[in-house]
Amino acid sequence: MAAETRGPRRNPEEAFNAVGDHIGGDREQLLSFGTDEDLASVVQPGSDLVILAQVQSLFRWAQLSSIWPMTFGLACCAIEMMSAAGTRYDLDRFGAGAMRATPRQSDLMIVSGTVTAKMATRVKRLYDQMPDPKWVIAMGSCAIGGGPYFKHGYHVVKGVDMMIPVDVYVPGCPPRPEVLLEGLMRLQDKIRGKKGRLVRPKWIDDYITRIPD
Amino acid sequence: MTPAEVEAGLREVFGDRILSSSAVEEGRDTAWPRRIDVAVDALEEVCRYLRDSQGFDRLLCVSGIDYEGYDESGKGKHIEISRYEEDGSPTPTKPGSGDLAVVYHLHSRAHGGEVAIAARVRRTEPKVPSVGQVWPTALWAERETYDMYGIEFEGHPDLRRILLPEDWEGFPLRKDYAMPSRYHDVPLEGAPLAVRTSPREVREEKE
Ligand code: SF4
Repeated sequence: MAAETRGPRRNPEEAFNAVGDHIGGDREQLLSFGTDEDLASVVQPGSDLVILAQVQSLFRWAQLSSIWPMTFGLACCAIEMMSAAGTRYDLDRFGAGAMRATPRQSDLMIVSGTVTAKMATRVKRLYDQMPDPKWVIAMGSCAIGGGPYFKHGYHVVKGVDMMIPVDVYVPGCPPRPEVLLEGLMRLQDKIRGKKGRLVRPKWIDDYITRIPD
Repeated sequence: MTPAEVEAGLREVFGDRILSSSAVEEGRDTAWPRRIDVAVDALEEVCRYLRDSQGFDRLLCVSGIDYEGYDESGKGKHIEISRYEEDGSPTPTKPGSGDLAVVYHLHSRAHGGEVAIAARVRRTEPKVPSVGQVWPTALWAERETYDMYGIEFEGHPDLRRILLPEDWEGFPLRKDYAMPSRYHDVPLEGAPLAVRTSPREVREEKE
């Protein structure tokens, strides 16, 4: 048998899991099948065009690689969102540049701006019209918690997460396009099934040690 | 044309229906803009006169004032207005009794002058004549003043709310406005929904 000449033969289940682990791994290793041995042990001799993956992982990979956001801006934050979609920051590099003008074709709602009471019912309706699976990014202080100016206002919903479930919060007033891109990548991690983790940047620790008591 | 000339012209035509002005109160004799208080019933005629005889051909803005907390002479004190507490609940208010006022800022492209015409009305009967016949642009501005202060403009052809939803309750820029905590099924403050972790949970939530 050919497989025996390639080194120790793995049991197929073990090999399958090895592949699955790799698919669930880092973004850069996405759809990389690890070592040649792993790949060799799952490819049947005689057929050279087989890719074996967990179907769920494959679907997730497809979903996270082509997130289509809805064309939907509410206030000043939308300007930064447009900028993120423009040539300089180019949201399309992450597969999220196809802004759809209808909720029926969108996967992602970027709530970019102030959600007023008058608009909130429309936001909810648009969210309900989006097909599953769907995700929401709350962009800017207004969408996160009512905003720096309207926190005590009579007309603003104090956080869009009181209306619709939010996956990723992107803080700022307005967040720069880089931050929105970062939020998009965290959303991709989330779709991929990675657990979220708060990482304190190293410079904060450096800074704290330098503050006198 | 100087501010004093404008005011002298107004006083000559309208007599004691011109109540006071910023020149009298603050001694700002030569400065634009000059604020001139007029009686409510003279408002439309004053505006028409200023447009036709004094060259004030441009209406810059229409705004409102709530004199709650101020006495008759215009001296004021700090009063608490309703807002949201840190926990999100609105603070209570008691009904106000101060006057309301409407202010028209006018500008002249001919001589560059600016005046502010103010008319004070009782809170219980906040009615002033519309100047939409004088400057058509006043129509939308008056709708906004109505939206925020509840001042009714008599003779306005289409006096509806312009920014807020038509079934909104209360007039938000009045100092005795009670903060809402809901608008229909929209919560304006409160706790977020459970944070979502996967699409499956959302489906369960809907059922
Ligand atoms: S967070 Fe700031 S930039 Fe964004 S919508 Fe609110 S006020 Fe505008």
